[in-house]
Amino acid sequence: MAVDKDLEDLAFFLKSPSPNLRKAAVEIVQGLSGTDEGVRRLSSHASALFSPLVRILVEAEEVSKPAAEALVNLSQDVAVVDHSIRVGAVERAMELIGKPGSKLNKFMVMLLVNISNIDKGASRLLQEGDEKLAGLNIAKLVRFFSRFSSSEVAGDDEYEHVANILVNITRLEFGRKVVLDMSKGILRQILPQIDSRSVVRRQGVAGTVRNCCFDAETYLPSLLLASEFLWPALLLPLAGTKVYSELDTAKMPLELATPLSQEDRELETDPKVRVEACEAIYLLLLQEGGRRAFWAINGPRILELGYEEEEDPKVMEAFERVGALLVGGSGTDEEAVQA
Amino acid sequence: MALFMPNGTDVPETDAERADLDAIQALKESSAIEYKEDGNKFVKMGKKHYSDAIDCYTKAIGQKIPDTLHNSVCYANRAHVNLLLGNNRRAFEDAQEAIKFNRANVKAYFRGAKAALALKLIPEALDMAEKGLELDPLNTELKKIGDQAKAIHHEEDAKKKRDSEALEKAKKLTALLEGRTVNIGKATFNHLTEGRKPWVDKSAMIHWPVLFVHAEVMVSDFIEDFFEMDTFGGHLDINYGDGSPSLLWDTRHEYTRERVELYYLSNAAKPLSNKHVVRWLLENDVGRQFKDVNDDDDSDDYKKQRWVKVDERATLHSVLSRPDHIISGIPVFFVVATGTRFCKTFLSGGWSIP
Repeated sequence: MAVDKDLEDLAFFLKSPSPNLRKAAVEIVQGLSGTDEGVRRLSSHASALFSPLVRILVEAEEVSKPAAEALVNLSQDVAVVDHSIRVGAVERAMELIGKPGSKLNKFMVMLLVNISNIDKGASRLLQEGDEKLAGLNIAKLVRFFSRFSSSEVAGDDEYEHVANILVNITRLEFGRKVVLDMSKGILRQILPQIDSRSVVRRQGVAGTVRNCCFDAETYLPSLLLASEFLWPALLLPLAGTKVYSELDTAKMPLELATPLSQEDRELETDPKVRVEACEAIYLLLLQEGGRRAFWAINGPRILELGYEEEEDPKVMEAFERVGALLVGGSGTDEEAVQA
Repeated sequence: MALFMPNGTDVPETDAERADLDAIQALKESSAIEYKEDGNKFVKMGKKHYSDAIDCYTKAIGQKIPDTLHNSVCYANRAHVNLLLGNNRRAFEDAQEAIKFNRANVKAYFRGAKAALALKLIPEALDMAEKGLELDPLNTELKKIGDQAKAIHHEEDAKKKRDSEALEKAKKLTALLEGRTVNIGKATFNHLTEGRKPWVDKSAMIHWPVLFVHAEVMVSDFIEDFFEMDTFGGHLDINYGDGSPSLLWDTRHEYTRERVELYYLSNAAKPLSNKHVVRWLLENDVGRQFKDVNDDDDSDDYKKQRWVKVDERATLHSVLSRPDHIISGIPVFFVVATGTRFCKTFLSGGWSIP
C-alpha cells in the first residue's frame, strides 16, 4: 500500500499540543472529506485519523465542528465505520448528544446514521447483548427526537435524522424488539411525528413502523394496543383530500373521524411515505387480529377512497396489494354488517 | 431364652425355676394357637362376630410367642377382618406388621395393597402390589389391585399437569391484564355467563365475554367473543341493526339501533390483587364466589360511582383500561334507549342495579 506522507503528517498534527496546528490539520481533513476522492484517500488512513478526530470533539466549537463534519463524511465509507465501532465511536457520540450548549448534535446524529447503516453498527447502537443497558441509547435518541420536532424549533432541526437511525435499527430483529417494547413506549412517541413538516421525519416514522410490522405475528399487541396513534399514522397519509361523509366516519374512532371530516386537509406529498404506510398495513392485515381491528374502525373504506385519488404508480401498486388481502379474506365483522 | 421379665429381675438359676418357665412358655404357645383358631372360627360365623375375631387375633398376638410365621398370620388375618369392617387404616398397619414378621406372606401384601388403595395411598398400594407379585407373579387379585393403583396414579398425574397448566395460563392472562391497566373486581353477574372467562388468542390478544344488560327489564344479551380491538358500534350493529332478531319484550320498539346507548358503572367494585385475579380466573363453578375476599373492604374508601356513557366508536380495550372502570367479573354494559321515560330515570340516578 502506497504510503501517503501527507496523511501521516496530518495524523501527527491532529495530535499536536499546539491548538493552531490542530485547527489547521482539522480544517484540511474537513476539506478533503468533502469529496469522494478525498474520502477514499482518507479512509486508507482511517485508523490513524479517526481517534484523534474523535478526541477533538470535546474542544472548542471552532475545531470540534469541522472535526465532526469530517467524521460524518468519513463514516460514509464502510471500512471506516468498521474501524470507528471498534474505537468506541458509538459510545462517544451518545455521550456528546444532548449535552447542554453543544453544537454537535446534528453531526453526532448523522454519524450514528452512517454507523447504523451496517448491521454491526446498528447492533452496537442497540446495545444488543447488554442485559442492563439494552435499548437505552435508542430510548435517549427517541426522547430528543420527539421533544424537539420541526414544528417547534425555528432553526435547525438537530434531531431530524434520528428518523433514519430508527429505520436502520429496525432492520434488525433486536431493533424491532426494542421499538415495540411496550414498557419503553418508543412506538407511541414516534407515531405522532407522521404529521411533521419534515419529510425526513415522516419517512422515518413510516419506514420504522413498516419494518416493525414484519414482526406483527410476534408483537401484535404492541402494535394494536397503540391503535389510537397507529391507525392515524398509517391511514391519514393514505386517506386522500376529500371530506368524508358522516356515514363513513360514524364507525371510525375520533382520532380518525375528526381529521377526515375536515376540509382542506394536507395531503401526504411524499410517495415513499405513502408506500411504506400501505406496506405496514398489508403486514398487519396478514394477522387475523389485525384484520379484525382494521375492519372495526372502517379502515377499508379509507383505503377505498384514498385509492380513488391516488396517482403515483408505485403507491397504487401498494394499494392494490392491500386490497387483494381485504377481498380475499374479510374480517368477521364485515359479513355480519353486510347481512 | 428370655421371657418378658421386668428389668432387674434375676435370670432363673435353679432347675426348678427353669422348668416352671418352660411350662409357662408352652402354655403361651398353645394359648396363642387357640386364640388364632378361635379368631378364624368367628370370622366364618359372619359379620356379627367380626369384632370377636379381632379380639381373638389381638390376644393371639399379645402372647408374643417367638413363632414369626404364626405372628405374621395373626396380623394378616386381623388385617383381613379390619378390611371387612372398613377399618382401612388399621388393616394397612396390620398388613405392614404381618410383612415384618414374614416377608413372604403374599396374603399380607394383597390385603395391605387393598387397604392402601382404599386410603388413596397410591405409592404404598403400588409398592405392596409389586412386592406381592414378585412372590406370586400369577396372582390375579394382586395384579388387579396393582392395575387399579396405576390407573389412579396416571389420573392424578394428568390432573396435576392440567392444574399446573391452567395456573400458568391464568398467571399469564393476569400479567397481560396488568400490562393493559385493566382492573378486575369481584364478580356480580356470574350466573348469567356460565362462568365464562376472558381468553388469550395465539397472537396474545384478549377476547372477552361481555354482557349487555337492558336495565329497564333486566334482560341481558351475552356476547361470547368481544375482541379487545372490536368497537362497540360493530357489536351494536349485530345486536340491533338490520337483520338482527327483534326483542320480544320491546313492545314499543324503542330499542332500535339509533336509540340504544351503552353505559358502565364507574368504580363498580374494588380492584382485586393479582393473586385474587388468578384465583378468579381458575374458578369454573357458576355463581361460586371465592369466600375469603374481605367484604369489609368494600365499605372503606368507596369511590364515587356514576353512569359513564360509552362512545360506540371506542374499542373495548380503550374502555376497559380506563382507571374508573373496574370490571366486576366480566364486562357488563347497561343498555338504555334514548327518549324513553326509563332513560330519564336512569340518567338522573333514579335507578340502581337490583
